[in-house]
Order: sequence, then structure tokens, then C-alpha cells
Amino acid sequence: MSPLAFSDAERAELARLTEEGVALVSDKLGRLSGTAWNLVTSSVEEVPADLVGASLLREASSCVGAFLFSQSLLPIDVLVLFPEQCAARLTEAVVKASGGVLAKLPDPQAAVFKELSNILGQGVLKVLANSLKISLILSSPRFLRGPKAEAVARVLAAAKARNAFIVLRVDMTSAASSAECGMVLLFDALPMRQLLKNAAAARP
Amino acid sequence: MALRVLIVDDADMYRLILQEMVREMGHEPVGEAETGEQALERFKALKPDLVTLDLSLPDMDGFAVLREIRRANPRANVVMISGNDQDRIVAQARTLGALGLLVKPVDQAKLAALLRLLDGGKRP
Repeated sequence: MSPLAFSDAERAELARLTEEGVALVSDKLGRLSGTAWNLVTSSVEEVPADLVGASLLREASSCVGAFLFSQSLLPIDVLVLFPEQCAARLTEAVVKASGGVLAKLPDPQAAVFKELSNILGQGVLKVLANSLKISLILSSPRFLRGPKAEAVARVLAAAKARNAFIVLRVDMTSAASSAECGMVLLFDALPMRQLLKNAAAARP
Repeated sequence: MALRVLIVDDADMYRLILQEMVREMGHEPVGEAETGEQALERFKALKPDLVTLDLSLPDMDGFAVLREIRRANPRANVVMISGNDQDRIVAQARTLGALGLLVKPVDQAKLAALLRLLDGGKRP
């Protein structure tokens, strides 16, 4: 098992920032799906690499979601997964909100989950980037569908240089639907610790 | 007068949504591009009145495309469209000469307001 990278205070600060980011995205999800959403970050924890899969969406074995990455000042990877059983319902809500326009796409489900993942990932990174006084440009989302273990293994393999893994669980509810979502932020702890230190020092 | 709009986004979902929005507002989606290279070729060939430009493209970032477009035509009208509205990203878009940055999912009223201004011969 790999050692955890952050002190309690750093972990608490990262949890605060990620929770703040998740809270920001309700309005954007509402515009996408045509319903008001309530988002609750029910847990934010730093876990060793070998426990990422087990910590993420414990009840789900099959998932849909996306992988995004940034190669800027703070290289970071973001994995967002939803249990597959909510995929049809969420896709239907978003297609309906588009007035049926998105039904013309060859794979509406892929388009919807790439965008849901993008909105969630961008929300968290916005608060992080603004707080650290940097900019982070995320790649376009790459769609993932299938066994959770495969998705997690593929992302961990692509992010070999990272040694810190923050796992978030987000509960999303709206009048039309509800879903659980799991997100993992993968980054190198060293530059992140330095940026957190700089940001704290710059505060009045 | 109908404005001719070039839509640049690697996501087919947003190319479709923006085309529908532009048409509904009485303007003409004159072309689309899914990479930075395509965007530059089509910008030069089509000479659109407005470019909607995604920030994350597969071959180069939207800021690099914005720089090239403004080099080719310093009066080009470009609005960035992105899920990324970090403070420094919004500021950089303005510094590089974009009319602004509309956040995804795109608020139709904000795009309509921008097109109305441009249609009236004004720059926001």
C-alpha cells in the first residue's frame, strides 16, 4: 500500500476546495438537463492507488463516465464515473431538455456523459485553480463505458507519474432523477503541496 | 442582416446545439470545425462574421487558434466557448482579443445578446 501524501491540514484544505467546486455546478447541470439539481459531496478522501477502485462507487461494477487530463503547471487527471443503471435515465432527461436535438447524435449517451463529467471536473478544477492562482486547461473528455475495474485500471496506468489520489463521492438529486457519481483526482503531491503553501502564504 | 457564424468545437454535441441556436436566432451557421487546424482553414476560406471557439481542441488549445485568427484578421470577432471559466482563463481570453467567454452549457440568451450587438455593428 502506498503512503498517503498530505498532512491532515492539507487534506482538509483539498476537501474544502473540492466540495466548494462541486457546489458550483448545480446551475450548469440544470441548464443541461432542464431540471434543478441538488448536489451533495458526501465524502472526500485521499486513498492509496491500490484502493482507488474499491473506494469508488462501491455498489457499482459497471459504469459510464469520462477521463480528462491537464498537462499544465499542475499535471492532473480526472476520472468521473456513474453507475451504468442511471445512464439511460440521465441521457433521456438531457436529450428531452435539448428539445430532441441530441437524439440526432450517433451516440447520445456518450455525448451526455462526456458533458456531465466535463461539468463536474471543470467545477472542481475551477475552485482549485482560482485558489492556487493558476490556470488549468482540461483536455476534451474521453468517454468510458464498461466494468469499473477496467476504467480505473486504464486511468491509473495512464497516470503513472501521479502519487496522490483524491476520491470524491457526489450525490446528485433532481425532481426528474437521482444519481450517485464518483470522481477521482490524480496528481503529483509535490507541486500541489507547494501551490497550497504559496496560496496560504499569499492570503492576507 | 443574418450573421455568418463558424462553429469550432470537437464535441459533436456542441456543434449541433450551437448550429440549432444560431439558426433559431435567424443567423447562418456557415461552417463547423472540430480541430484547430480545420478552424484556421475554414476561417480563412469562409470569412465568417463570428467564430464560436472551444478552448479544448485535440490538436491545439483554443487560445493558440485565437492568436492565429487575430493575426490573420485583427478585426475578427471570436467568442470563446468553454466549460472552463477559471479567473485566469477568462482574463486571458479577453487579453487575446476574444469578445468574451460563454460558459458551457451555453446560455442561449447570452449568445443571442452577443449576436444582437454584432448585428447592430457593435463590439461588446
